[in-house]
Amino acid sequence: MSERDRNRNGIGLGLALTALSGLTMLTAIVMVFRYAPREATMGDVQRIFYFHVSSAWVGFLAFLITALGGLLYLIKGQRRWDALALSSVEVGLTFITMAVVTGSLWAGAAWGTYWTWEPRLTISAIQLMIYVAYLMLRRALDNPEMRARFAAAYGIVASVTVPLSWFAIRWWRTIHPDVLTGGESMAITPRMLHTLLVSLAAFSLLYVTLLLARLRLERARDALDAVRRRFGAD
Amino acid sequence: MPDHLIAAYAVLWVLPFILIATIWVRQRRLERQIEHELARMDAAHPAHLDHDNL
Repeated sequence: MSERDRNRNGIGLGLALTALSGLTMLTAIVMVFRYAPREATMGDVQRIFYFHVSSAWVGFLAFLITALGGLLYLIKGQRRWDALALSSVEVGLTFITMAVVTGSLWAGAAWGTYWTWEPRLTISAIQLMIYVAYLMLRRALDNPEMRARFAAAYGIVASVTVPLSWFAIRWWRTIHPDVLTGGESMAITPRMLHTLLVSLAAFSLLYVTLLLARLRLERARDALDAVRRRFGAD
Repeated sequence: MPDHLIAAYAVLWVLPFILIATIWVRQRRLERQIEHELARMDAAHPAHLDHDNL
């Protein structure tokens, strides 16, 4: 199969995924605003929760995929695993930023303050900075092999922030609600749970769609490098 | 609808859109660079390249 055929198949898969994730996202939005009940204490502001939890979940997933990509790069030494790790960081940063901003907006309405230095929020802010630094440090290294090895090790170590952030609201005293594992601060009804599950599916599909688009960019970069190497060698 | 919910909903659309836009812009730039390099190679060595496999 030629590179052009592979590109054509990739575009077909990308279009199918885009349509599917668009449809699921539309369903999730309709459910958030029409199907999910109005929460008794917070009112409509509680509906932020569906976007917030879903984007945080995808951010965590993306950073774990980065660690996996890094690990596979260190084991196999293939450039595609480095491309996967890098692409997943960029998409993950988008979703974690969404989680932090939507969480902050929810806090503004629920707590009366947009930001407080409690454990979950503090770890989220640190996590955000760690992965921005990942992208900055990559740009600072010129040698491609050294850059990929360094990024792989960095991505694996940085993934510690995922369990740390997940358990922060269970290990330390915090005002952040614990919804998913049955905390007392916020109870959800079956309709809320259905809406959350559809939102999680929609955001996960959006992640895969964006990841594939970002991976195509890395392939184009590799193609350019290949052309330049060939031109330089002639 | 509360302002906070509208703002959160806007963030849901704006951030992925920014990511998609930056990916698209970078992709176009790379494709233009590849075409430019191929044109240079063709000029230097005509009928030398298999463009499908680059």
